Amino acid sequence: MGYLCGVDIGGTFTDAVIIDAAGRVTLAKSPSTPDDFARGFFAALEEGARALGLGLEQLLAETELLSHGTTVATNVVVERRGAKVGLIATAGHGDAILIMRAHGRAAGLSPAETLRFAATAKPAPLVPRSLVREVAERVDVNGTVVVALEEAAVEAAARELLAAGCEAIAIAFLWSFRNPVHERRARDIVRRVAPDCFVTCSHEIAPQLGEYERTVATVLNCYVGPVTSAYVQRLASRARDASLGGPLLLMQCNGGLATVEDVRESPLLLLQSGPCGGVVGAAALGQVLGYPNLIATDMGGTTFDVGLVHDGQALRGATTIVHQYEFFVPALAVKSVGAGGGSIAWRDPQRGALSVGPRSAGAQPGPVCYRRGGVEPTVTDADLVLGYIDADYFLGGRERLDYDAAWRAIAALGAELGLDPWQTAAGINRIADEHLAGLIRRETIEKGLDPRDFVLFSYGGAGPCHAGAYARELGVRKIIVPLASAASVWSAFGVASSDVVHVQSRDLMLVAPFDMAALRAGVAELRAQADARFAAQGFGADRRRYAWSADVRHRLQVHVVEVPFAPERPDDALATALIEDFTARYEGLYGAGTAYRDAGVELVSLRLTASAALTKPALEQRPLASAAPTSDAVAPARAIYWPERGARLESAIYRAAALLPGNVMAGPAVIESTITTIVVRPGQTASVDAYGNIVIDLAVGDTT
Amino acid sequence: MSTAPDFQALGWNGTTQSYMPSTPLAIDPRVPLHREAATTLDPVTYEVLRHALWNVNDEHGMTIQKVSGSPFASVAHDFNTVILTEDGEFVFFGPHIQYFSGTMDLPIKWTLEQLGGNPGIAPGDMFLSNDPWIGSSHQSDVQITCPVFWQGELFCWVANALHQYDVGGNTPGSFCADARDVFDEPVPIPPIKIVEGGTLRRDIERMYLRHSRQPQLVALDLRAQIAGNLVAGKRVLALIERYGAATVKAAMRRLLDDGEAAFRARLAQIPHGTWRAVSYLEAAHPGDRAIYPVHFAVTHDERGLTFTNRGSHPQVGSLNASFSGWRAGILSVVNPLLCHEQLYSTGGALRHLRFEPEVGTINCPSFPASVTNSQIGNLIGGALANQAIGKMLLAAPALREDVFAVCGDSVFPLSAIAGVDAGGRAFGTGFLDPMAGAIGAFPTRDGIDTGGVHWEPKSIMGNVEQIEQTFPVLYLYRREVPDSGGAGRYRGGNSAAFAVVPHGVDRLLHAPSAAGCAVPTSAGLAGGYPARTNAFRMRRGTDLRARFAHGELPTSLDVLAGEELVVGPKARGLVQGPDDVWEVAWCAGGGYGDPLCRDADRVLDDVNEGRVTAAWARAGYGVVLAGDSTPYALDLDATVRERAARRGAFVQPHTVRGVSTGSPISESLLRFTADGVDEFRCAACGARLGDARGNFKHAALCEETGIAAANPLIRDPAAAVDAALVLRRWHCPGCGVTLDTEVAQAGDAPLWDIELA
Repeated sequence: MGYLCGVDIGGTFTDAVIIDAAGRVTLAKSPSTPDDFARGFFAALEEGARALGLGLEQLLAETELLSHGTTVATNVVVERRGAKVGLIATAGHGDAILIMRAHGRAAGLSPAETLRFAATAKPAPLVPRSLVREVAERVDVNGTVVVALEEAAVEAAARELLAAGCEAIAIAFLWSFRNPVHERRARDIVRRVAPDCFVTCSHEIAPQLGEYERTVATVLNCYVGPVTSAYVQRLASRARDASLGGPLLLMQCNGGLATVEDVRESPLLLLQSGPCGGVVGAAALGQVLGYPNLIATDMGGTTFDVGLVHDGQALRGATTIVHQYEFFVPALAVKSVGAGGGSIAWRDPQRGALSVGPRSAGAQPGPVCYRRGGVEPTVTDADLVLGYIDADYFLGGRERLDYDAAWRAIAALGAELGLDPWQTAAGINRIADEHLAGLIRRETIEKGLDPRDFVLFSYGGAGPCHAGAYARELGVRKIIVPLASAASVWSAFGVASSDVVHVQSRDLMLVAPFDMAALRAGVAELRAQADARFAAQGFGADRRRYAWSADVRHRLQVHVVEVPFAPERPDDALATALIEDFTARYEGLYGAGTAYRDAGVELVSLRLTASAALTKPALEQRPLASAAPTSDAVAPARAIYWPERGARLESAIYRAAALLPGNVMAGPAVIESTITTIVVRPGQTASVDAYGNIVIDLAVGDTT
Repeated sequence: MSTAPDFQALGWNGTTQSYMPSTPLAIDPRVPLHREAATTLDPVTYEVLRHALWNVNDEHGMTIQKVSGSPFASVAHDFNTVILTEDGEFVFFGPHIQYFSGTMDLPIKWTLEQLGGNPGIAPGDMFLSNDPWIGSSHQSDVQITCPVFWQGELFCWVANALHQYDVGGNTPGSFCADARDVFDEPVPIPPIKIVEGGTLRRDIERMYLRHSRQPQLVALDLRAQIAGNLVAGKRVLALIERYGAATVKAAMRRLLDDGEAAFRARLAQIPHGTWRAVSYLEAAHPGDRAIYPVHFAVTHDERGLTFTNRGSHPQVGSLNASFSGWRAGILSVVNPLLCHEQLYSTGGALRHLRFEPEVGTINCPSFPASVTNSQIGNLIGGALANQAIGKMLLAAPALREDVFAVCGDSVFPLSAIAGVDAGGRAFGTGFLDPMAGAIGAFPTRDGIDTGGVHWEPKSIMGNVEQIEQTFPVLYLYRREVPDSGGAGRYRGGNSAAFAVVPHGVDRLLHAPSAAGCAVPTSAGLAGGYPARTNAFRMRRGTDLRARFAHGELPTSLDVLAGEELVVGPKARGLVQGPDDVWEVAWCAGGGYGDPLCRDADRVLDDVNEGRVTAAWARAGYGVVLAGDSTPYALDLDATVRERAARRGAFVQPHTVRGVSTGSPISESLLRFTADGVDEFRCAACGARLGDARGNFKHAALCEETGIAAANPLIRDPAAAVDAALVLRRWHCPGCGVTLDTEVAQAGDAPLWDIELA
C-alpha cells in the first residue's frame, strides 16, 4: 500500500496530511494562496514530501489516494462572486425563486432573530427577475405532459440570456423529476445555442418534490459551477502532470468523496463540505473506538458547528440553507451558528442582565487579549481571566495574550452588573455554555434523539475549553478530544476513510398496496445508473456497495420518513417490511400513536446511496504507559477559578505533546496543546487512549 | 379622561358578553398557587433562565409539529405556544401565529376564576376550550391549557392553540359564511377538563371529536397539543429541579418587570395623544353589498395605552369577530413594534394596556352572534392597530425605524375548496398561499415582497408541487404581482396571485370568505398609498384546454375566452367546472411617504425588475421613462418637470411659512412650540398647518378622487359594494407634498387620525 494524502485549504494555511502504510502520520503546512489555491495545495504536499525525504513527484507517484476538502464553492457563495446565472422556468412559475415560499426573510435564522421585522429582509436575489425566462410547458403530478414544450421559446430565452451576459443557465420546470422529457429537450436546445455555457437541469441535481428548493439547488449549482469546475480541473491536470499514482477525490457535503468528473457536473456537492469533514472524521473514529452515537462539535473563534452520528451513520438533512436560500442536496446535517470564542459579552441595559453574543469580535479586532484593538470582552477573554488559558502558552506560546487588558475589560463590565471579575468571567462562560448546550439539545430533540445517549466529540480551537461544561449541561457522560496533538489529522483521516459516494434518488408515487413492479423498475434504473458511473470511474463490482431506502409518508401528514430496505427480498416480504418498518420508524421519531394509518401510506421516492470502497488508513495504536504522566508532561500548576467550587484552586497543568497513552488526569486540570486548550472540570477525569485521543469521563450525577 | 368601565359589573363574564378578567383576579381560594419568588437573582442565572424559558416554547412547538404532522401545523405553522405565570400573566409567546398566543391568558384566567373549586385544577390536568366569548379567536382555534404543578402548588401554565381543519358547523372547514348566528356554527366549548390526572378522558374526547367532519385528524392534533404541553411542562420542572422553584419564579417575575420597565421607557419617548384608524368591511353574508365601518383608536396618556373600537358597526351577519381575537390582534402588533427586544415577553407591557371596546359591535359581539369568520375582523383589527400605533411611533424618533406600514395580511382571503376525488374520497382544504403576504414599507426602506405575514415571524407557504400532490388542482401560475404594493417614498412589499383549475376531477366546490375586495384595507403611512385589494376571480367556460393542446400556457385570466363571473367577498355553492379558472390575489404592503419623493432610480430599477409597471411608474410616482420595453432608461429632466408640476398644482401662493423646526410627528409633520405658538408645520417647507391640538387636515389641501387612483390593481368597487369609496390625499399648501392619505366613504368627515394632547 502506498501513501494516503489529504489536503485541506483553510483561510490562512493549507494543511497536508500524509498517512503511510503503518498508520504513521506526517503533517505539513503552507500558506494558502487565494489567487490560485492550487499553488498552496502542491506546496503543502511538497513540504510533507520533504519531511519524508521524498520529492513531490515521488510522493505523488506512490500515493494511492489524494483526497481534498475545499471551501472553494462555499467561498464563491459567501463572497457573492459566482457566475451570472439565467433561469428558464415553467410559464407562470418563474417567481418561485423570488417568492422563496414566503420564508426568505426568516429561513436559517433562529426564532429570536426573526422577531424584529425592521432588522430582517430577503437576501439579494440569486437570479434577478430580469434574468428569468418563462416558457410554455407543463407536466402534471403524474408525470403526464399537459402542455408541450414551446421549443422556440427555449431557444429565444437562451439567446436573450446569453446576450444579457449569463455565464450559466439553470433549467427548472415543475414536476421535471417525475418526467424529465422537457428539461432534457430544453437542455439540448440550450447546448446547441450556447455550447460553452454551464447548464444544469433540476431533475438531475435535485430530483425531489418541491419546486422552490429544487430550483435553488439548480441555480446554485450554476452559480458555483464555472469557478469550481475550473479549479478542480486545474488541480486534476497538475496532479496528472505530476503522475499521481491514485485518484484525486474531493470531499462532498454528503460525507463521501467524489471524482473530479462528478464535481464538474455537480459542483453544488462541494458547497458547505468543509464542516462535513469533521463529522465524517468523528464517525470514522467513532467506528474505531466503538461509539455509534456521536455529537460532533467544532468551536472556533466565530462559529460553532454541530453534526450528529447515529448508529454509526452521519445524519443527513432534508435541506441545506445558504444565505437564507433553502435547497435540496443530500448533505450531512451540520448546524452552524455564530457563537465562539469571539462572542461579545455585554450588559443589556433594559434588563440589567449579562448577555453574550450574538455579536462577535471575530478575528478582527478579536478578543481584547489579542492586542488587535478589541475593547469589548469576549468569551476568550473570560477563559483567560479564569485561568483556563495561559497568556504565555496560548497555541503553544505562538501568541502572547494581554491578561491585564482582558481583566480590565471584564472588571469594567462586572462593575456595571455588581459582580466581581471572577463572577463576571464565570458568568460569561456559563451563559455561552448554556447557549451551546441549548443548540445541541435542539438539534438532537428535533431529530427525535436524546443527547444523553451520545458521546460528545469536541474540536476546534475553542471547543475543548468549553466542552466539559456544555456536555455536563446536556447530561452527556463522555467527551472525546480526538488525537489531541493534531486535530487536522483525524479530520483528514476521516476524509481518507471515506468511500466514493453517490446519492441518487428517483421520485415515485406509489400508494399502498404498492405496485411492486414499478418499485422494482425504479430500483433497476438507479442500479443501472450507479453501475454505469462506477464502471466508467474504474470501480469494479467487488468494490461497490449499494444501500437502498425509500421515502414514505402517510397521506394527509407531511412528515416523510426514510425507510431502508433490501431489494433482494421477495415482493410480499418487501411490501410488508416497508409498511411495518415505516410505522415503527415513524412512531419512534414522532411518538407512539402519532401515525395516522387510516389515511393510507404513500411511497414517494427511492434513494440509492452507492459507495465504492477505497483503501482505508490504519491508525497507529501505541501501548499503554503508566497512569501517571511523566514529568515532561507536567507544567507548573496555576490558580484557576472554578465556578462550581466558587473559588480559585491550584490546578494541574499538562502538556499534551508529552502525554502518553494510558495517562490519567483528574480534574480540575488543564491540558495545553499547540492548537487548543482542554479543560478537565472538577469531578471529571481525562485519560489518553491508545490512539492518543483525550477521553474525558463525566462523573455520574455531575450536574453542577 | 374617562375612567375604565367596571367590566365585571357590566356582565363581562363570558356568557353573553366576552370574558374580561376581574382586577385583581378572583381566583378560587381552593387553587394552591405557588407565589414564592427569590428576592435576589444574580444577573447570570437570570440570563440563563431567560433563554431556557424561551426554549421551552421552542421545544413545545417542535413537538406539536412532529406529532401532528398535519399540513396546518407542520407546513403552515398554524398554531402557537405560550408560557404564563401561575395567575395567567404572559411570560413568553412562541414564535408562530402571534394572535393565537395573545388569546391564551383569557381561558386560563377564566379557569382560575370559574373552575378552581369545581371540577378543580390539579396536577396532570389539561383544559380544552374554543369558546370565542371566553378566549378563543374563533371555534377552529382550539386551545389546550396545562397547569404545571410543583410540590402540590400551581407554579405556572403552558398552553397552545392549533387551528383545526374542521370542528363542525354548517360548512366544511368551519368558516360559516351564511351563518345566521352561532347556532349555525360549531358549538363553542368553554374550558373543560379533557386530561384529568394525566389521563385523556375518553368521554370528553368523544364528545369533542363528534363535532368534526375529520375526527381522526382532529384526534391526532389533540394528541399533538397534549404532547406539546407535556414536553413544555417537563422542561419547566427540570428547570425548577436545577435552580429551585423560587429562583425560576423570580426569573419569570423579573422578565415581566423588566418587560414592563422597557415598555414604559419606550412609552416615555412618545407624546400623549390619540391616534385613529378606520376601515370598512364587506359582506355580512353572501350577496350582501353593504359596507360596515370598523374603528380603532389608541390613546397614550399617563395610564399607558388604551385601545377602543368606538364607532365600529353593530354586530351583523357572519361578519363578527371575537373580542379576544381583537385584543390578540392588537398584541400581535404591539409585540413587533414595541416588545421585540424582550423576545415578545408581553406580560409586562400588558400591565399598561387597556382594552375598552364597545359591546355589541362587529369586533366585540355579544352572544349568540356568528363568529366563525372572526379572522376577518381580527386581522382588520390588527391592521388598524398597526396603522394607528405606527403613526403614534412616528412621533418618537428613536422608535420610528421599527415601524412598518400595514402588511399584505390586513384581510386574509380565505379560499376553501371541497369535493370528491377520483378515488371517491371526500377532500377539503383551504389555500394558504396568502401566507406569503407582503410586509409594508418601513420609514427607511421598502417593504418586503412576499415577505410573509406580520403575525407569524417565521411565515412559510407550501410549494405548488406539495399542493398538487395532495389535492386535485393544477396551478396555472403563482407569481408576484407588480404594482400590488402601495406606492410611496418607500414602496410597500408586493404580494402574489395564483390561479388553479380542477385536475383529475370535474368540479371543485368553493366557499370563499374575505373582505377587502372592494375597500383597500392595507393603508399607506405618512403619505404613502394603500396597496391593492383582495380579489377572487372566476373565469367561466374558458378555452384553456384548447390552448393547452396548442402548446400555450396562459399566465393571465384576461387572455382567456369565457365569461368573468362576479365573485363577492363571500360565496356559497360556487362550483368550478373543468374549463373554469379560479384566481386569488391578496392585498399587499402599504407604502410609506409621498411617492413623488421616491428616488427615481429606484423606480426605474423596480420597473426593469418587474416590480412596478411603466404605466404606474408614471401615474403613481411621476417618473418618466425612456424606451418601449425593458430595460428602460430614466428621463430625469422630464421626471423632475412632471413631479414639480404635480406638486405645484397644490401650492397656494399665499401660504404662510415659518421655520421648519420642531418635534417630528410624522414624515412631513412637525409640531412647532414656542412663544405661545403650538402648531403643525410642514417638515419640508415650514408651511403652517394649524393648531397642533386640532386636525392638521383642516389646514391641508384635500385631493379627493375615486379609489382607483390609489393603486392600479384596485377593481371597480361597484362590482361588490354600493357605497361610494374615495381616496383622499392631503397635501401641504406650501410645497404640495402628500402629508397623508385615507380611504373613506364619500361624505365622511376627514378622520382625525392624529390628535395630540
